[in-house]
Amino acid sequence: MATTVITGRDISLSFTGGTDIEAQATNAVLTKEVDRQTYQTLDGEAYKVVNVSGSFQLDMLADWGKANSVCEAIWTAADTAPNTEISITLTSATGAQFVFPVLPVYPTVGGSGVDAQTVSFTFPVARGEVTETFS
Amino acid sequence: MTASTILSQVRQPLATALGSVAGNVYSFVPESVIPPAVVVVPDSPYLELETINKTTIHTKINFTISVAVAYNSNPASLDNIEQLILSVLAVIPSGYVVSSVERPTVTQVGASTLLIADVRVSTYYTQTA
Repeated sequence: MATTVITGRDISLSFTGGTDIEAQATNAVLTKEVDRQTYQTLDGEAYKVVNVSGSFQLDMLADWGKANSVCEAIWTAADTAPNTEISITLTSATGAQFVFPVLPVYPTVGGSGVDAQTVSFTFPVARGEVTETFS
Repeated sequence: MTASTILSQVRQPLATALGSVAGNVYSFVPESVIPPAVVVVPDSPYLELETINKTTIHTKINFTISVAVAYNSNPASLDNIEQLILSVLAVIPSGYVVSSVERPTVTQVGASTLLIADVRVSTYYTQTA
């Protein structure tokens, strides 16, 4: 059987709000982590997961000034509704979909003289909740 | 509906924006160049796929804007090409990144000797229906 290779171009991504993020995003990585405590007992090591957290790294070409700008939508969300979750759907490849809520953060603004302006976000995933659908 | 093309969405608008400079502007490589001339040609790599997702084509496009003047007297030709380069830089539309201007070189094109410098620019293109 041929080896499977999927790339970043296999990813599809959408926000609540429907802004055209796929035209701008250059990098999208969801990370889910467990906080596993280790206890040294007389029997050896014992483990307990006490928390699950997540973060979503998004790098994109800045689109300030564009109609339905993603940067402006996220800036406005961070300004007006910083505690309201934004639902993100990330499909890694056909058959592997991840839906998760993130909390808005402010985008960076500006760039260097020789390059396209870019924006990097690290969104916290609310409660570390990721709903995956594998088919 | 026919999908948008790079010619209609990018190369022709760039050539149109360059239309105000004092030279003949081409959105393609012409068979013969009449100096002073500004020619939009693909750079290498031409298309770079930088964004996620492949259902729609989003790509970075690299162009070389070749700026050419007649090569008669070296100091005058250099002054002419510098002025033409500055006028080109002044009218490049928003949404373009100008990375560098290569050094002028003397090139024989057909029967004419030209002083040519390449302005490297890039922009982003999204194919629409």
